[in-house]
Amino acid sequence: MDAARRYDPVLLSILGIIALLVVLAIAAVLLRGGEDSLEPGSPEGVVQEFASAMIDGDRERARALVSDEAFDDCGGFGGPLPEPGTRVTLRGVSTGESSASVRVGISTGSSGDVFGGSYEESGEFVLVRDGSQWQVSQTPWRFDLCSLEEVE
Amino acid sequence: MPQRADRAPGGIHTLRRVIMLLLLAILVSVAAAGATGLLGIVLDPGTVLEDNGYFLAQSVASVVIAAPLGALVYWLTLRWLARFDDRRSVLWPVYLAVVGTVALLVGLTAMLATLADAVSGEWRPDSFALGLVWLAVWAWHAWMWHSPRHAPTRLAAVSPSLAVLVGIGFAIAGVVSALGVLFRSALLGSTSLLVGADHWWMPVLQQLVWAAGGALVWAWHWWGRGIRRSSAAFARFTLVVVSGFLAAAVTLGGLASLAYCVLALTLGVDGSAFAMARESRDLLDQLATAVAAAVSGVLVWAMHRAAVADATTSVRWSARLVASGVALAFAASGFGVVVNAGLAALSGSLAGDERSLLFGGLAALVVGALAWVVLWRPHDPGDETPGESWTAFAGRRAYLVIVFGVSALVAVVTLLVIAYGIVQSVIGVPWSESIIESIRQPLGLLTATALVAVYHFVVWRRSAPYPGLERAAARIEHVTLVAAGVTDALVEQLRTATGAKITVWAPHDEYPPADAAALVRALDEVRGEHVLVVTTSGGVEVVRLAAE
Repeated sequence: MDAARRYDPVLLSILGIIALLVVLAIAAVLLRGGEDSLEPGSPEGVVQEFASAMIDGDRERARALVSDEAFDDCGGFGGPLPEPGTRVTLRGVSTGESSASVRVGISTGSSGDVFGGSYEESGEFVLVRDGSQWQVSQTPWRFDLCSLEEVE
Repeated sequence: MPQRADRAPGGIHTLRRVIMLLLLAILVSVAAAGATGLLGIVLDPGTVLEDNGYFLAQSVASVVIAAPLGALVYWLTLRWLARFDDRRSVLWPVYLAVVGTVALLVGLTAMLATLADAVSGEWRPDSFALGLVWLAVWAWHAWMWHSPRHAPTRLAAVSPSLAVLVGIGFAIAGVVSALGVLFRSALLGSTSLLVGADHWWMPVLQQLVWAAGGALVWAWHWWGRGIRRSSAAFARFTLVVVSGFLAAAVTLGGLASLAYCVLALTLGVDGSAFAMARESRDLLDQLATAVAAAVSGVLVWAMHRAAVADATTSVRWSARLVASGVALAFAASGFGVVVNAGLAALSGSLAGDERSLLFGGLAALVVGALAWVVLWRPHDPGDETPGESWTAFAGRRAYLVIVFGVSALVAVVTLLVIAYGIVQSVIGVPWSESIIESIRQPLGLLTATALVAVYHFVVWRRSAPYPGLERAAARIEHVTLVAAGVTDALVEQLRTATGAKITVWAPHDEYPPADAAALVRALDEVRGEHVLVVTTSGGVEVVRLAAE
């Protein structure tokens, strides 16, 4: 039972690789992780503000970014706010004269779920131009804006 | 005295048995459904808003047609059990086990649901009827399993072992839920959202009903039916599944979830105050369930510890292998999620961040890795010679091969998914993600499985393969016993004494009955591959056969 046998070189090197990757991942998340900074007045900037507000549960901030005509199709019932761990990524923007479409990817779940089961889907935000500002007009179902109707 | 299990006549008889047992299963199910409907109507004379007689007609028709036909098929089955020796067929215990277990599941669920609702003051006659009828079906099949006229001679202990698994499943679910509600009330305060007489302990009591029902079924089969002491293969397999897999999975799942909640509560998933308030409540909720799960898992393990300690070393080490496999699964998937989170951080996001992903992965990785080191003991020096130690256990090599194979398979599949994602991004399929976003999850899984595969492959190559390693512990490989009046108990005794595979041939002429003590004495010093043992009037004769 010599010393070389007690400390298995293969296992140690594998453990070393695992430790390195874990440290890198932690560093990446804590330092670089988080939101890209986008131009606040652009369509994608408005969507970022809106999505952050909805995920945070800040209804007032979200309501300020929604155009008043957006509630015309609401039946009086609103959907729930998105889950706290939701993450939104930008997939594409197409800007027109008076309306813009921002395509996003939404991933939810995986909070504490040990098998990393996150659910990914795609959605689209439609914005309308109100003067010089962009306002949210349509949202993916996860960010249903009908629940904001009563908020001032 | 039941004859040693041989095969029943096959061929056309197998076809006959299949058709008959299928018929019996179908007729029993239909009759039970009809009886449930009728019983439900009888028990519930309450308000009927609209009834055009359809339900009544269906129930009556089911019972009137299926019950007599079922009785006829059952009577035929009974006759053929004796006449064609169907008890020795493998289909008969399969039928009893399958129908019995399904009946137990349906009946127990319905009956426990009725009792749980009764605790809170509701009376559910239809649920009660369902439970009563299907529990009666289960009781009938359980009685058939043990009654001398019906008892199957093969696949010993399958049906009671399955019932043990059902019982422990219900018990675990009930205990986790009950404790979860208890801890949640303690952590969050007893907020009752409903206006009414509901006290906070009502859900606890209801879940305890489920737990008690499951525990009762488990105890009845574990102690009463003797699964605890049984050395039948399926019973030992059940023990390994319960104490190795279930206990480990529930405990480690609870501990990983607990670690995640602690990390998220202390370090915070999101920076803003709004999110923290919302998040805290959900996290405390999850914390309560996690602690409940961890406690339940430990409880299951503790209750089976004595049985595992009494069992053979191969059962003990099999359970440990299975548990270390579960720990490995947690650690590997946790590591995959951590890599996933790191890659997600690199690609940036519009809103939200990756911290919840990272914490979930870290929690699973740390808990799984610690458990794996404790169970698998990779720091033990490898044993070159076959023997009785943990590192030389024969099942360990099978485990290594299985883990390597599964992880290699998963790695290949993730490679395909990665290739698909890359091509999709590069071609520019509309609505597709950037490259990193689409491949981060399979890439994480790939890293984890690749590392797992490499390690287990190396360990496998390192454990020296000796021919016949698995049989090193057995003195004799195979014993062919020619004797009259051989019982299952005698075969078990022989198997325990010699570690050999026992085949029994019944002699045509009159021979004295076999005596276990004499046989064991005769085989005491014998070693060999294949040994023939004949009990004659002069005693026991042992012939060592030449290798083929």
